[in-house]
Amino acid sequence: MANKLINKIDEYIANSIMEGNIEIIDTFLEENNYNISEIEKLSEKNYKKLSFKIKGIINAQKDEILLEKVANIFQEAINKNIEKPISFLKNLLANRDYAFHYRNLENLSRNEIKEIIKDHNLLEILEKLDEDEE
Amino acid sequence: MEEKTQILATKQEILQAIETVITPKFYKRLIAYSIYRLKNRFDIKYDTNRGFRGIMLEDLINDLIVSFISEKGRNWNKIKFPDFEKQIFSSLDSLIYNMVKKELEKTIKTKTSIEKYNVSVNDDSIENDDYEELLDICISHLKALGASDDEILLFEPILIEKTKRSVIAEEYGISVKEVTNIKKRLDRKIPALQNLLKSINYGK
Repeated sequence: MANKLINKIDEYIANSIMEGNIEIIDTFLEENNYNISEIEKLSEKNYKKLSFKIKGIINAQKDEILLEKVANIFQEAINKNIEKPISFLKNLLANRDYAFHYRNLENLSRNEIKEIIKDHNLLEILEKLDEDEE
Repeated sequence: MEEKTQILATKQEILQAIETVITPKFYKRLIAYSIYRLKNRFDIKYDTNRGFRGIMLEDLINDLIVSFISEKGRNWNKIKFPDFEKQIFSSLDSLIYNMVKKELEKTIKTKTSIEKYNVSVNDDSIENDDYEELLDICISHLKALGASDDEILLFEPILIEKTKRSVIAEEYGISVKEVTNIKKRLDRKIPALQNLLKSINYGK
């Protein structure tokens, strides 16, 4: 029974910290000789560091999604032989020295299409393709 | 039909949850919780400048959060933890456990220490099992810490029985706001009470 009481106190403090009970958090830190304002500064600094890192990952993921989307449009255009996107892609190819420059477009793999378009402004390409579609 | 034990959140759901949950205040909770777990479960006093054997809690926390949105990273089991915060704390618990285990096992001398540390207050071998005696000790410690009669009266219902504030208010004929205020004052004494109990060898 005594163990139960000690467990309850332990559980109470752990749950209170998880729930953000500021009385418990701050007294626990003080009671164990931590400087609350130092912990807050540490939290603020690392929160910013973490946010920056997360934003970087999110942006990279968004770029990847956009790249997939534009590559899809071009691949579909090649498969269906739609003139305007194909000529757009040919222009992109003509302006750069790619190893697969002279190959037939229908032989391009999705990764090759992605390789061709990845350094271009994908949003601009998407807008241009939308305009052409209209 | 078998009941589902896990529904994994999509990356999009995790991203949204992270954007909502992670704030400087929440970060402080993660740091405080980690320090608490190290101290209470493993008897390790965390050094905010040097870390635990060079491992900084902030790096552990950042890596943990990032792992939720990385390729092949951690999952969020929405059945077990409908609240994403709880998922983070649970994962943090495992990370801390694994970190301490790995570090302690690096030293032959402390190879079995993790087992020693794992002897929690659940261990039935602790000889003194007199609840009433310990309760008396808690109360006299609380008095020594300056607790009022109200705080002492509500110690058992709040901490041990986890009675809802509204129920306590009704039972004791006071307002919920009064219960909240008493609880706040009592809460400020609980970490000190726990330290006192440890110092007289209750607990670990």
